[in-house]
Amino acid sequence: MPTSTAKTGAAIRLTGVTKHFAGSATAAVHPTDLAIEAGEIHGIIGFSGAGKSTLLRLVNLLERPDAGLVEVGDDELSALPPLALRAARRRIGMIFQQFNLLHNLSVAENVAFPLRIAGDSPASIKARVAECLDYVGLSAKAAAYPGQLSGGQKQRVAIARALAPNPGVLLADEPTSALDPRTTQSILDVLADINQRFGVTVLLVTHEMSVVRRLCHRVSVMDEGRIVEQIDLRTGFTAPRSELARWLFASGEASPAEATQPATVAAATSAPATAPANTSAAVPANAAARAIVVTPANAPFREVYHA
Amino acid sequence: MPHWLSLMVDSFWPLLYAGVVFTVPLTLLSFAGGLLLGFAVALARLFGPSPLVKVARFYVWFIRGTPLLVQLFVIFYGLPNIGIVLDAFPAALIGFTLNVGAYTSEVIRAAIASVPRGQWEAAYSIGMSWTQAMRRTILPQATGLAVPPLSNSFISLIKDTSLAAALTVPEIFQAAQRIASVTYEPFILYSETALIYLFFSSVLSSAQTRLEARFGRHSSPLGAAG
Ligand SMILES: Nc1ncnc2c1ncn2[C@@H]1O[C@H](COP(=O)(O)OP(=O)(O)O)[C@@H](O)[C@H]1O
Ligand SMILES: [Mg+2]
Repeated sequence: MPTSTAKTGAAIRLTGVTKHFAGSATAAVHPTDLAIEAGEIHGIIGFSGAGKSTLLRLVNLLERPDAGLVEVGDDELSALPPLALRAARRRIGMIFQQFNLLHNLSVAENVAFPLRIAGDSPASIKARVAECLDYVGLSAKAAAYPGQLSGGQKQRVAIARALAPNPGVLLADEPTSALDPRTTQSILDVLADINQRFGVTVLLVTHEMSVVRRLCHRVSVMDEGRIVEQIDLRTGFTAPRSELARWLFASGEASPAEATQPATVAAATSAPATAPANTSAAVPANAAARAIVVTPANAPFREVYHA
Repeated sequence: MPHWLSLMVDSFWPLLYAGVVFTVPLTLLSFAGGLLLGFAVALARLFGPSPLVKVARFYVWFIRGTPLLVQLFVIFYGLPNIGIVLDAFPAALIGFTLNVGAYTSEVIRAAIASVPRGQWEAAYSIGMSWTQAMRRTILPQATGLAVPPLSNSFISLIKDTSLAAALTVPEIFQAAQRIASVTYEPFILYSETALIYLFFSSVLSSAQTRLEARFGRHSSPLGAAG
């Protein structure tokens, strides 16, 4: 799998974007600024209806902002004409809660589609599809149809399809919310690996704190169309300030045992082999912060950023 | 040979001829035209600007709310009053096409609308245009959903073309009426006519079954969570 070169500077920058759906009383997204660093895995967490998906969809303009600027890499997406926008979208992968594989196409055809749209040569498409399916471990299913796959397999195909055009950015809307815990872990591992190995910037929407803990470098907490707080999970720790963030961080899908589990133990069960064993050094002492453990899944990020 | 049997044999060829030369072409042409019209109307209603949506809705409302026979009479017997004179066959063709168009537009509209929104999003997110998304992924899936109800409309249409007899189109039923009026054996003749319609609709139904098998393969709504 060819690597995409890690970019420098903000990979995604939203400036004052707003979205108000016709007929609804309030805006789904109030004027919002958000800057995602290149190489970052950034979470957006909040309750259902908070506007997370809308914000994510504003990034690749599946949703047109009413106002504001959307920049991804060097492109100002919100100013591009249709043809250029479609080309730009090919540099932004997207995966979904319901996977959204194209039902009428086989696994291989799904992965090939973005490349065919881009006009790549049949030979290079074939090679790239094989490479991507191999990466997600589904070479054997190339000829299968989406209806014949499990949820986890569908999401892997969706990831392969998103990766095929070698995007610099991957948008993920609740990618594990339809999956069981074990499959969730395997998908999170793939996302962490994509980020670490290929330097892909990941913007991930979730309502599960456990996903944020296991994967994200930073998280934006969203409530009623606004980002109410941003928390950096790398730099030791800043305690959550807003009530919502405190509640999210203190509450738990994570049991106290899991929350305080040393990374060395977690590494033995679910971590990529590259995770260093001493990543729990930053676990702070206060109660709210105990809920956050720098897990092996985001440990590789430390190498990228601090090594 | 008993009288009733020789009567049936004698009238068999004229009836079959009327079917092959008038009923089948009328059915196929008006169904093809109706499908195109129905597709255009469905797109107008789903994606068109609001005036076009209103026109399309009015058309569907009007056609579905009035008897087909009355529509045919307006076209063939009524339009000459305002200076538009049509031969019987073209008048019937226009009438059936308009009628099929209204009904199939509803089927096609529902089929396109029932392709999950996520399919559009996935298509857009990998850089497809609206047209590409429509052609490459939405329509193939909508087709799987639309084929069964559309083929039902098709079978109904074969039988409905008997109404063209009232416009003097010499199709099967008209031929039967003509023969019956000289032989005075309506029971035998109309029974035979029924059998001939049965034959044509059965042949076309078996084509329908094959079509459904072909299009239904990978696009069943049950595979939708993909
Ligand atoms: N296409 C749409 N049309 C109208 N309202 C929408 C649409 N998409 C989302 N909304 C509304 O916008 C708000 C935010 O939705 P969403 O971004 O999906 O929230 P989340 O992903 O955080 O659950 C909700 O009130 C939702 O009903
Ligand atoms: Mg959502």
